[in-house]
Amino acid sequence: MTRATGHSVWRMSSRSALRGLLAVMWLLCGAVVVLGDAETQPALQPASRPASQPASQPTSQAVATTTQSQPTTTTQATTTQPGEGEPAERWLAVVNGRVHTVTGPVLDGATVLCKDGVISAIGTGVALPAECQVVDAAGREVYPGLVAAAAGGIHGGGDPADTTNVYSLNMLIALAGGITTAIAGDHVAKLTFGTTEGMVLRSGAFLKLKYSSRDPLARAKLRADLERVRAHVREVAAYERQKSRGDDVKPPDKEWIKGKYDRYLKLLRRELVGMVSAGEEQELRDVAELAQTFGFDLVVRGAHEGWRAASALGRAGAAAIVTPRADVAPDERLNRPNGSTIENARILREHGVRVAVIPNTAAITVWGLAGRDLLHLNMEAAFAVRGGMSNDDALKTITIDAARVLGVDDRVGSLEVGKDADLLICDGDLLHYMTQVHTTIVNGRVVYEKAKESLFAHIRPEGKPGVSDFDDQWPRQLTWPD
Amino acid sequence: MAGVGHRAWARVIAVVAVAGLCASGSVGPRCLAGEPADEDERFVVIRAGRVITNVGDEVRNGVIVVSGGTIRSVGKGLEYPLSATVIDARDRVVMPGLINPHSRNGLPRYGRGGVHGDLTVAEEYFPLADAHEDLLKAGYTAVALVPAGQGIPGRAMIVRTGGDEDGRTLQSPAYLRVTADKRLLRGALARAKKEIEKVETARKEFEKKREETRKEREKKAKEAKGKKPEKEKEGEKPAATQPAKEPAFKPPPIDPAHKVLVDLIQKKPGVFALVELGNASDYEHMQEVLAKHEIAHHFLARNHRQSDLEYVVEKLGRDEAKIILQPEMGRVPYSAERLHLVRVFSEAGCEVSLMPVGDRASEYAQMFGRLAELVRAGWSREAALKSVTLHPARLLGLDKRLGSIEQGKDADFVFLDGDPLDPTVRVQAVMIGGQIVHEAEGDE
Repeated sequence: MTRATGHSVWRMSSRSALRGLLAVMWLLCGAVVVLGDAETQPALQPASRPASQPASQPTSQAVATTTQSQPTTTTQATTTQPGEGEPAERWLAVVNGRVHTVTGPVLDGATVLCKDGVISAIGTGVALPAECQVVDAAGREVYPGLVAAAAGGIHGGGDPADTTNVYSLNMLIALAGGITTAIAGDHVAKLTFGTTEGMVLRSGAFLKLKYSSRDPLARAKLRADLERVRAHVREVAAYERQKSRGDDVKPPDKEWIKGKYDRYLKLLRRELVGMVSAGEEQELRDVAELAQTFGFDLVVRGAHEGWRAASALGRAGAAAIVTPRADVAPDERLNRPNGSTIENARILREHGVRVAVIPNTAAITVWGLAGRDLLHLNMEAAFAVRGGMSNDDALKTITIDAARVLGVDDRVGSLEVGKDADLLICDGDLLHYMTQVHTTIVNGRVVYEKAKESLFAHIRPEGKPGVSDFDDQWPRQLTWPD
Repeated sequence: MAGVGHRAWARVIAVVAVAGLCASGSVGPRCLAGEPADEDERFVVIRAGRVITNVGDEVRNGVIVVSGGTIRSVGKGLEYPLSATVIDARDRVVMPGLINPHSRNGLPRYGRGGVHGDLTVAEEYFPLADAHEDLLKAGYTAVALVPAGQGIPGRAMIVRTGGDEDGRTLQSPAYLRVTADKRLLRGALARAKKEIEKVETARKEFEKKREETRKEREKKAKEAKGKKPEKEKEGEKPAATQPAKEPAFKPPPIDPAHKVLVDLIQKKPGVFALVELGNASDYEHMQEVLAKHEIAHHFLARNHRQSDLEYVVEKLGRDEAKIILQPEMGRVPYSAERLHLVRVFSEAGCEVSLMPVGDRASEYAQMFGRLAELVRAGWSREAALKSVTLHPARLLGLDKRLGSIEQGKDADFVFLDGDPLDPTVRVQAVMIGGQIVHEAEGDE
């Protein structure tokens, strides 16, 4: 699996296709693993193995089966072989949980085995190596770490690996809210609490564009610049064509391609993703038209009237970062439906727009006590469900789809072998209002434990094993648990 | 008793004098065996109620014999010459002078940024008689004066707080002060690496050139040998046979501001960086750069009440790091729970030195009180006393001279009127280099 950080987006889409194929294979293989294990190992492996077990390598057949059956893992196994003098392998296993893989099935009582911060096996009957940190998730739900497609105040400015306070309260709170990856200015960075190692996933990925009808001059300028760069791209293509035919031609002038023109060239080559803040229908339609005309990758942020321009955005292949609870009152003077709706995320998704959900305030704030900041990212996705989206799709808007929007879906966003070991252990369905994160794991390291931090340890200390206890409450009412 | 003592001591004196003579040849007139009277006068004897030596147990009713500003012996019931100056401190507690490992006492405030490895405090320091009176009054006998500013503002100097104005300097330049600016340090070290490469390239080129010259000369010499008869006829001496003196390698000049960083990378003994941390995250960032270049370093952390330093206690303890802290209680990060951060660091395996909370007279004077507070809250008494004496001496690399009352170390003492951790304790006198340089005023 490609681990490059600065990949381009057209590769992303082809990878997505590949991923779809893999997911199908994975499903089949998962079944094979489970069946195969059922034959050889009827019961789950005990968490601890006798000390006489010699190697720290997983020797079980189950792992062998998993590795063989998945093309992605074979490369993984070869790339993570530590050389001489390197520190010993770091193993971590989350056992007995209900594992929501997001891109695959939900596995009951499964084990997620991680080696050196990368998932090396998922399934039932996975044998654990001798020296392995074991986290028991019996009766709990295991999810991939959440991805915040907009965030502030978690990482530092500039290169987050140099400026982030890795012990900050904001980062700790975000981890308590289940976020393990967040956008940090021009970078996509992980919440590696206590270390800078493995923090930055992607750098220099986005180009912020302004294309507002309130500033027609800037609009015209951007269009003119893009046209000029596009003409250059065409000239270059023509030159190459003629040259290959053996014509005596002069190469087009490249001197002026610097500064903003260089960035626009990268945009047109899809090396950068254009990010535009736009909310109203006409603005969304205009920017979608721009993206389609010039052929670049577009992410619209805000898009509270996205439901009105969903088809245009879908045609442009755009992605949207939206807030289901956005509250923009309709302008009664306009002779068309307008304003925000809770159905926005669902409608956009139905029109093929990739949707990432963020809360109203994309930061850690004291207002978050009302549930509208990054501390409650999962609740925001739950409001997308209220607007008609399915539970599974809503989960994707804060995991794999958010990762796709940020171009880091090769590393995070779902639980798959070869992906980064970023996991949450929750006491219930992630989209339920009562659910809390009990353990957060980033890069195979436990970085947050509810019981050990002073933040939420006092709230339902035991945690509820599931939400089923609340099903028989009727009429449904909020009561203070004892 | 005194008579017996005199006779016994005279023998010792003779031995010491002869040994001194043998060791130093005929250096100074003071060493001559023919001047026993002067020899005796140079001895200062302190009879102390209690001596806190910092090595082994405290000595009750002890005697410290000092000569030439150095401790000759410490013990119980030691004998000394009658003519020695006796300081009767039988109602006093004597302990090593305090060391402040980080201060701007007596120096002006100003800001400076960037990399200034070539600047030292010595450039702004002038040994005025009472420059460090505030420190002296509080029992401090040595202080590391640091350059002001941010980034890499320069190198510290370590001075005595009083005594002979010419002999004040203990070490200059001392450690390099580095504040928690990861990018600046990384850039400075990268630059220093380039400087090293520059010298290496020049050396290689020089050696290559020298080799070429040598070969050429040998070739010429061979040719000359062949032609020798002809030349002899001409009556000339062949120049090539006389090897010219080879020029020594002259390294290209290194940027002075980065010279000390070059020394740090090349692990020059005695040179280290004191890295100032503001919080736990700074440790992670700075450690990343320091570990990459394996820079000799110690840490200073300002553990204010909201400090989150507890996060890195384990890591620092594992490295047995030497760290300067402030004598304050802390909190468990992001909670209201109180935490004895100093004790936690100390018990994790760090060698903790303490510096005053603020760089002002009232804080210097409060140091013993703050130590008492930390001991009351569970820290060990021994560690607390060492944290202001022996540990800073070790951190500064001056533990051969300072930090404890042992034979061969400097005679820098504090005379207290009670136990140092007694809340009513007062500094009654301070001795530096065998001379009383401060005495408390008042009735006591």
